[in-house]
Amino acid sequence: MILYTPLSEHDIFPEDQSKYSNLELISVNGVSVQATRLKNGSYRIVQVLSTNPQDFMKSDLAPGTIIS
Amino acid sequence: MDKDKDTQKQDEQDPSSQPSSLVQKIQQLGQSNVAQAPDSNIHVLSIIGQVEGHVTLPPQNKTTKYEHLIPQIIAVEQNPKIEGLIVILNTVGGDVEAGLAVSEMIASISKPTVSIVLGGGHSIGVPIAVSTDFSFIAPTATMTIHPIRLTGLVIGVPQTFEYLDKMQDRVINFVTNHSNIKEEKFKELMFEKGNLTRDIGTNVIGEDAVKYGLINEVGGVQEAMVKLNGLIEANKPEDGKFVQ
Repeated sequence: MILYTPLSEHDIFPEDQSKYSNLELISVNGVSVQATRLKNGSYRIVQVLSTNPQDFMKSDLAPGTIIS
Repeated sequence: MDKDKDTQKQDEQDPSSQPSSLVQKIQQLGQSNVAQAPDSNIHVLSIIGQVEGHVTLPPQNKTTKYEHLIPQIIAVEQNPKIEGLIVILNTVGGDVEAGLAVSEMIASISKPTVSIVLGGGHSIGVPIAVSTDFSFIAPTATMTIHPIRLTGLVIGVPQTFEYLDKMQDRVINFVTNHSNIKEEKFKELMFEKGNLTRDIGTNVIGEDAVKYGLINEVGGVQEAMVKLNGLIEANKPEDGKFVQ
């Protein structure tokens, strides 16, 4: 299928919004992290959002860590 | 992928099957112990992937969201323990207004700032790179300078074109005010033909960026840290008292 249109792709095929909702911004010990909520209600850390390089060294904030 | 999901589900249901924290650490970081150090007086702002502004990009894109950056920049300015900011850039560009907002905030911070362009600092990454007090570029890093446009969108009315033209002037003004490049040279690079495939603009590599005056020096992490520590020392008041 070829669509001849000046519109951009995401105007024609809107993104599935549910893909965005599984990432949440939460604060762990004062550091904001992006995490996905797991079925049992705990969170798995995806990314640390901080300018402090030491926050990235904290093992309890390492990506993949599960916070209950 | 599906197999991974299945094992994840099992992990969630049965707590006893959860890997120990040591195993988890090795899986995630590839090492069992990470170095611990005292609190740093230098903070790091990384601009990676696309600069995300007004439009949320699809989740498969790696993005730096400006709503995440702006509070961080305010926090760096407010915290008296933080003495310097280092900006690491490896970006393909992105939202012009978001990029300019971040650039203006970094430029107006009172503490010493240094940027390093590693890999790429394309498009709106250029003003972010020059917004700091001193800028570095890795020898292999590149910066693409090109005119502003809305990808794939047809310009409908002359006003849209004029608006884009004004937006472009804002970028040009910012870059020429915060770096040593002359407006004529920057515009020349921006509208150069034959450098980019089917597009106008220039891909400036490492030393060339320094030659044109866009970036201050070629260097990496070591040079940037030495420069930032030097700027922090110079920024300290003579009598050693903290003055704000």
